[in-house]
Amino acid sequence: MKLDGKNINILIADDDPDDRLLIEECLREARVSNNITFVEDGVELMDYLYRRGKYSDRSDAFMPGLILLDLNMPRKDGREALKEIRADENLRRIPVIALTTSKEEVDIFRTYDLGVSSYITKPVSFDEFVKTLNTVSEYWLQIVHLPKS
Amino acid sequence: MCRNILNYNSFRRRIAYWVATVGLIGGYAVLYGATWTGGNQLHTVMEVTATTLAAVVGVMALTRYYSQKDTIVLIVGVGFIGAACLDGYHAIVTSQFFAPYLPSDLPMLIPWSWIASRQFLGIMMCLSWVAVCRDLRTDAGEVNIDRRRRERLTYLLAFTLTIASFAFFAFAPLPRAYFPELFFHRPEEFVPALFFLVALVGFLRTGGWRRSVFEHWLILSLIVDLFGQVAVMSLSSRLFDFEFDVAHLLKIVSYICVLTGLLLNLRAIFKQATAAQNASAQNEQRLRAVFASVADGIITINSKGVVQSINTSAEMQFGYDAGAVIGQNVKMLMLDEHAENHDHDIANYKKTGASSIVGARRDLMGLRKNGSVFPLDLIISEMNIGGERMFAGVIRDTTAAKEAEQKTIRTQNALRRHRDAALRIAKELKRSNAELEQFASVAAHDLQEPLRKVQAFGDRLETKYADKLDERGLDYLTRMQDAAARMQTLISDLLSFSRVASKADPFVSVDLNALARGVLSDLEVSIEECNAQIDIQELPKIDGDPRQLRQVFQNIIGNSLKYRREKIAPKIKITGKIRIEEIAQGQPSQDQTASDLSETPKQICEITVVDNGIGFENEYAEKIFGIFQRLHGRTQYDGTGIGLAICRKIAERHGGTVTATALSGKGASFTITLPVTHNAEQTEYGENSYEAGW
Repeated sequence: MKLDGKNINILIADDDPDDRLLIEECLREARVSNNITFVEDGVELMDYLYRRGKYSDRSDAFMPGLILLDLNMPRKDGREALKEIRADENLRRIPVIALTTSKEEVDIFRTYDLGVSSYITKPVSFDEFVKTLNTVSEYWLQIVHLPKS
Repeated sequence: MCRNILNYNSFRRRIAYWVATVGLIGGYAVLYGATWTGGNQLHTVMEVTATTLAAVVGVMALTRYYSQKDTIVLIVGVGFIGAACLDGYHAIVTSQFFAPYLPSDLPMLIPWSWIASRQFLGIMMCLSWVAVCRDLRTDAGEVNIDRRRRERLTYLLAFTLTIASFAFFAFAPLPRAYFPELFFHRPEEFVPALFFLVALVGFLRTGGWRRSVFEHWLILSLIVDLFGQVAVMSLSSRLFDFEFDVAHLLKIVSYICVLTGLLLNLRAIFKQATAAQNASAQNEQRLRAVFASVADGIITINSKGVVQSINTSAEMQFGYDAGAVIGQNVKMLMLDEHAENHDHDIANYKKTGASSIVGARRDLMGLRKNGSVFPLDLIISEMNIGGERMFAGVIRDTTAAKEAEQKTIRTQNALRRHRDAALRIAKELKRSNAELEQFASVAAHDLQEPLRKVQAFGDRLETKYADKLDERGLDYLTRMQDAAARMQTLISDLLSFSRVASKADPFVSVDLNALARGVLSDLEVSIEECNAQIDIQELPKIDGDPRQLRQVFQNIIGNSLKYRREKIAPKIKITGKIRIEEIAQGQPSQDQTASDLSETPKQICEITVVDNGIGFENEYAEKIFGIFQRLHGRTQYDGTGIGLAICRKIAERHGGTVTATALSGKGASFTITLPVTHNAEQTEYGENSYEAGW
């Protein structure tokens, strides 16, 4: 189980470089050793998944097993990307975790309606962020069974 | 009234006839058998007097007749003229001067010439009665046509009779006049008496005496005549005896009666005429006063357009003196183009009788003496005075009315502009308010993001590099982190404030009792901590947003707990009542539109929260509701000062108010007023969304 979890690629979509840095640091602090890839918006995310554009030579081995998705992004936002992922037969089983600053109920409802696996609000302090990501990674990478891609 | 006077007159006159009759009979009875004897000279004097009187009566009656046509007066007048002639003749023959030239002896001539005069008057009296009867039977119009003929007939008859009498005496030898063998020595006196009787009965029956003072006196004279003939003269046994003289006296009395009647009749006519004249003078005076003082100008013109009269108002309107206008053509008061039309209109009217101007109201321009023009309203009417066609124009200067109209229009426009401006400002305010709320919300969101970074990297610095910083550096870092945390609170409070409008729920019926109890259970921990006593009285049920109302209770009760006095357990009392809003003091919230203000008085729920805490200086009673307004330092009491601002905003969204009063002892009192019910349109719906952790 644990071995399986370690092999899972994590794809993180976030337009904010600060957040990308913090998320990376958090995951490192949480001792997550999985392969982590960052994309900067929804378009890049879909390019990565579909091996388009600059990700056209991405190998099968880097197909993500877990996606952390920021909802507010330029070009294509997280909701649109989520909708496309859930609409695609090959991608729809990938767990997508919304990781956002919004506490708006309307966002939460709508995102779950779109088929998000979990909805997590970015905590304010770093320590809590670390704790949260620790829990998330433990849950998704070690506890749950994920379908083999 | 008229009839009463007539009845009264009639009664009085009837009495007068009886008094006259009884007086004559009584007087004569007393004097009966007197043997006093007059003479030829006395007889002549009496006859001259009678002649004069008869002439006066005749002339006066005819004069009177020609000023006011009245057949009875005509016949009586002519009769008296004739009687005067005969009496004169009678007077002359008795003077013995003409005796040699006449065929009869004096003793015969005197009684027969007396009879002739009496007989003539008797016939004329009867004729006048007949004329009166005919007048009564015919219409006034026919009488008028008949008058000429009747006058001629009367004169002819009187003339013939008079001449006949003269001729008779001049040429025929007379029979004897005295019959001493009979009881009535002069039975021939009954013949004129018969005529007098017929006339008397006739006049009494036609009843003219009731109305006419002349006929009344005529009847009195007839009574005297009849009595004189029947009872006195017929008993005269010889010339110049007592009866003979009394009869002559009675003739004079009878003439005087007719004269009196005439004079009284003239007096009545004169009085009537004077009264009529006075009335017409008064009437004219009144009309003149109206003409002069009426506010409208009045100008009369004849059919040639020449001004006949102009009143004071018109003089003032046009700036002319009456003298400068009267006799001039009215066109001088008009602008040229109107003057042309005026000529045409008048010509047309005279020709066809149809007019576009008479009776119609027209708006024209008047021309003043100084050349200026003014708007006027003209009404023309046509008059016919003394056979001449005239026109009267009533002129009203409409300058003031036109100005007033303009002013009204200007005022209305100004009002409309002001109202539009007010509506625009209200709309603008509402929009800018909404923008502000949106700004607060967006700003809060966007500010939150970098702040989170500051806090996050601050944390990283503290975690990873604390050992590399000296004590001062660490102090700076801590202060920075505190400040960031405070800003975090401020932003989230600002968000909460902006959400009062943006995240509102529709109004439903809310039981404030249950709501307050819920708040108390939320605050249970802090209530127990400070050992507070909270007394909630019966509260009403109102329409509102339950989440927001709960927030209000929570903030105010929370405040009371927070600002408690040291070592004194807080006592909080919450009471509620319903009252009727006084319209004048209705405080509209910014969300209400103007139409709400005019509605019927509303029921207002008033909730009062009184505590025994530290209170505040009364001068801050309003300030504490401002956003982020605090009365204490951060170190004393935490919090940003948003709580009461949110309360006020929620109350205002509900169309209510929140006010605070510092109590004279220690403590504070908060009063929340909220309308009990809401119309659907008054409710402001926010986005129908929920958010945890208000």
